[in-house]
Amino acid sequence: MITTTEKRFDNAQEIIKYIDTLKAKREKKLQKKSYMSVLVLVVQPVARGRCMQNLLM
Amino acid sequence: MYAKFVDVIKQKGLDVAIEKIDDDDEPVKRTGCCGLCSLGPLVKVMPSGITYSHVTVDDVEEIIEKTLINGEPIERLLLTDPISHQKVERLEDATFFKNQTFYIMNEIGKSECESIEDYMARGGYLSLAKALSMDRKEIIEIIKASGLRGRGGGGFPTGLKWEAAYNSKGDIKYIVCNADEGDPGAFMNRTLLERDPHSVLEGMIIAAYAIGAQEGYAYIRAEYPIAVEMFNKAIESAKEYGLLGDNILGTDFSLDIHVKEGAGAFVCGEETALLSSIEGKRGTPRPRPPFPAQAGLWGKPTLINNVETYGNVAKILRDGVESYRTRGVQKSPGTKMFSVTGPLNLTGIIEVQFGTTLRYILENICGGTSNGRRIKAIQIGGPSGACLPEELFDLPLDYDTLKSVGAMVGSGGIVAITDDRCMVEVARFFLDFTKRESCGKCVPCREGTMQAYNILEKFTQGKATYEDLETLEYVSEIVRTASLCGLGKTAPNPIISTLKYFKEEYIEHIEGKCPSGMCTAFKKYIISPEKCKSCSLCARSCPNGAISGERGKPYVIDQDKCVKCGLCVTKCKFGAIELVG
Repeated sequence: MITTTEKRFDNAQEIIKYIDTLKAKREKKLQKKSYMSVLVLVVQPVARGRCMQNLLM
Repeated sequence: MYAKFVDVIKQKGLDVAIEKIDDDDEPVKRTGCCGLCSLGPLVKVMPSGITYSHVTVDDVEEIIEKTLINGEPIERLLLTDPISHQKVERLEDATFFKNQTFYIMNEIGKSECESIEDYMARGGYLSLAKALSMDRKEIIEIIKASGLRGRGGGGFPTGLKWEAAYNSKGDIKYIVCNADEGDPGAFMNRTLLERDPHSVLEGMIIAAYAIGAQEGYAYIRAEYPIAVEMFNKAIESAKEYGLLGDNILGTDFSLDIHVKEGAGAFVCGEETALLSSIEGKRGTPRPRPPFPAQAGLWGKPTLINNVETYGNVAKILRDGVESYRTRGVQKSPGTKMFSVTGPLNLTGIIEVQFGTTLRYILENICGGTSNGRRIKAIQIGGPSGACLPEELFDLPLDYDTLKSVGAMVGSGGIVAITDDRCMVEVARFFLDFTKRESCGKCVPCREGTMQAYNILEKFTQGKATYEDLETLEYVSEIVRTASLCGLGKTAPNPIISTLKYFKEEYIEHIEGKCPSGMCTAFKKYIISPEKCKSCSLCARSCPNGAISGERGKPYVIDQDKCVKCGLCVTKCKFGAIELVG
């Protein structure tokens, strides 16, 4: 989470303003900060007979 | 892998060394799959963007030491591009990604899929805020002008569907998201729901507002537990932020959305069967009309769209119709996600604009075949899609062009089939699936798919005649024209298309030969008299007693008894048994 502020928005202007704040924070983070992103391929069980690779790989 | 990264970083005390935005900001983020399944697990280190493929937990410490701390790439873990044959440091520089056109998948590895605030930081929910200040009909007109077509298979214009639901009178209206992705090998919807659930949810909320719905359901198959988890989390977050529930953003619009887990029946991807399943009934299709927009869930007007369709909505509203229509072709604007499988160098989820050719996908994105063989066909549109021959690979991929050659975009499954595969066997394989998944409600589908399958089995077993070929064509046509729902109507597509483009393979099977050599019924195991040492190991291992002989003489196989299991080959120590034919 960029922030963990719990917030309920009661009008559109309020959320638009908040989104702008988050966008600015994100830009700052992408440009200046080091962080790591891990993409993990999740292998999920699927029903028997559904795997195309059985036939074609 | 994720846990290992967190552990090692904590062990090394690196959470102090790494600069963070906020105190509670973890250095390791969980993102969704970027689509490059064949090279996973992938690790991308930001902000350099250095990406590693086929990473194991044993590589984690080295990645942290060399790349995260010192900024140096680890050569052996870098992806080798199958097209340029160069090592690629950044994922975005791999031709697999460079040659795609991203629209709804453009946040590859950049976003934290569980966080509503991360989605908002990318401009998420701006479209909803904008939509709630607009007239409902105005939103529908925008969707109509965009030319967005349903991504679930039929390609029906989304705006028209919304308009029909808007015009239907009813005290209650429902909105439904069809996430019952049942095609073997297809996982576009799963990827989107797991990686960007808020984009789908925002699209649903906007659609619900546009048609005046008060309640909604996301029908997600239970085999997608992570998608279910992510979407439930997204719903809860949206409720916390006042984007779902009563009086959304202070307006008089209220909406509640529930997740309904599907039990895995393929037919429940058909919209009327899906509605029956949500109602707690057996998932079987209903005759149309009335269409769901007129009388859907519990007889009330219901708008039902696919995951990917909803995934486009917020972007169209945010970026505008013009921007959306810069991709794709006139009658099929925008992009489409496809899942590509088969013996290709790179497989996984891709996004391309409509009008892209199959050849471009196979060669410029997936890097050609991994086994060096020629691709003789592709199967597109799921198990009830069509098999297209190589001469059609240069046709633009869009709803209307594919329809003109007897194929369909379907949900977006693409399977590459190389020349060592038997097209009759491919048709049999898909019919095996559709016959098992037939709900049994209508006779043409229930009986027709079974009969067609039995005939196809005769072909692969070398027992078919020319009369069977005629019967197969006849039965396929009956199933196509007389079935109640889309499953039945499209089930014979693999047969019809292979008969159209690969008929010679059917004829060769009648003549006693499988041209690809795949159907074992046309082959036989023989024992070489020169190599046989009469050890009797094969005879003792044969489960059907098909091998006999006596000491000092070569053993022989009784072809009438042989079931071609191949066990004898694995037992023979002298390489005396071979498969011929």
